[in-house]
Amino acid sequence: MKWIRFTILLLILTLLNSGNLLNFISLGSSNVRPDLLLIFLLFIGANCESNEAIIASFVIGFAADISGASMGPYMVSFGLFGSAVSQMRKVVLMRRMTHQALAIFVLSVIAGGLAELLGAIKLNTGTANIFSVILGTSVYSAVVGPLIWQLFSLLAGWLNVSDKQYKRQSSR
Amino acid sequence: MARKKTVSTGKIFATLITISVIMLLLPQKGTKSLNFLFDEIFNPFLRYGMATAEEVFRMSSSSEEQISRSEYDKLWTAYHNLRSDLMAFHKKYEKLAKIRTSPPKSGAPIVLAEVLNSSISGLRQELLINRGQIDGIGVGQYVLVPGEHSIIGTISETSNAKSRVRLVTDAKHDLKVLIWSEAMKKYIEAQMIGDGKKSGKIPLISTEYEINTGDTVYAATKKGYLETPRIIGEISKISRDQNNPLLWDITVRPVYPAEELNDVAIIINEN
Repeated sequence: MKWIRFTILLLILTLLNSGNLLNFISLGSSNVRPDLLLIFLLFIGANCESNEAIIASFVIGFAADISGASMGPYMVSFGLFGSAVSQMRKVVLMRRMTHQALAIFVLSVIAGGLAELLGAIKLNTGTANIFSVILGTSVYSAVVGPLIWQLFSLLAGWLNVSDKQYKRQSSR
Repeated sequence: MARKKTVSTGKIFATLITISVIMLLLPQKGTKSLNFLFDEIFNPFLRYGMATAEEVFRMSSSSEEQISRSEYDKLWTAYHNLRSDLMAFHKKYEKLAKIRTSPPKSGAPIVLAEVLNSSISGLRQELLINRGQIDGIGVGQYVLVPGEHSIIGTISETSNAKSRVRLVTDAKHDLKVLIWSEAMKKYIEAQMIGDGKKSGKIPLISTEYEINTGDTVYAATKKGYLETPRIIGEISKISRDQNNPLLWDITVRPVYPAEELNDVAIIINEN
């Protein structure tokens, strides 16, 4: 993987994820928006070689933390689940849009939930609407995720994402 | 010929998860500077776009009998704050009439700050302001709309030169409030929690209290932080709690949509 290019793309996604620009497509009074970093995490986990995917997962978690409220929760959560995805890609293929959507939904609920739980423990604060927001974000991410996945696929060559193994297994 | 060393997947994972756990366990005091640094560097990009998908209020027609919504909100806030002041003065007068305990206090110092960015999402309803610890800002201090004196939130985090304001609508925000019951002509103590949207919720109030839509909600006094109750908003919806019909389910609409503000005022802690 071209790490400088990965960093540039990650920075853009982090700014979009934490800034106000995505409010144009936010839904409901809770301002639910798709989680771009989580979709990117899944894309990298599913398409990169194991070591690269693990490092990238923790780096994406670091980006989510630094643009959020506290350091640590997303690094742990994204690192754990991103690494798990990178190991599972040998058995679970995400070529179809429905599979991608389902994977994004499940990962968003679990990884997002864990990150918010760890954040709440660290900051010693409870969030009243946590379940509805996580569920809303997961559904929204799952709906638009496959489309964003296609955009990432277009950038796969530029990122030099190695998906030889992925192609070999899918052709069996 | 030198052979390229390869590190095992397990080692990479173990190293990174250890670093992550250490980051998680480090106290917020030590790591918050990283979050502030990110906001500081990328603020011009982060604030680009709209703060929230807010409904636009439009006047139906203009006539001498109508005033703008902002003017109405201003007058409404001033009226309720004055009434609250009047009641506080009444209490003081009653006390002073008996015995003069201490010389009168001067008004609490107020610091004006510029809003650098507003983060409005389901899990975060915050403002980033350009005043910090060097200006006397501290966690827990009350934040007002300058001029109108309605409470919009409290300081949740500070760095040397910047601070975060957690809005009363943030789902993590918990504030002691007073409901002015117009029917009972008295204050009812309560706790308000943000709903993560555009309102606050007041739970655990018995239906024995006569509370109606339009009743005013004030931030309760807090020694050293807030000397007199200050308005937050009004009750926009009240119904019986679905799980417990003996309790009210109260929704509070804040007077000002804080995400639209460019400046705020902070009441500096006197202690």
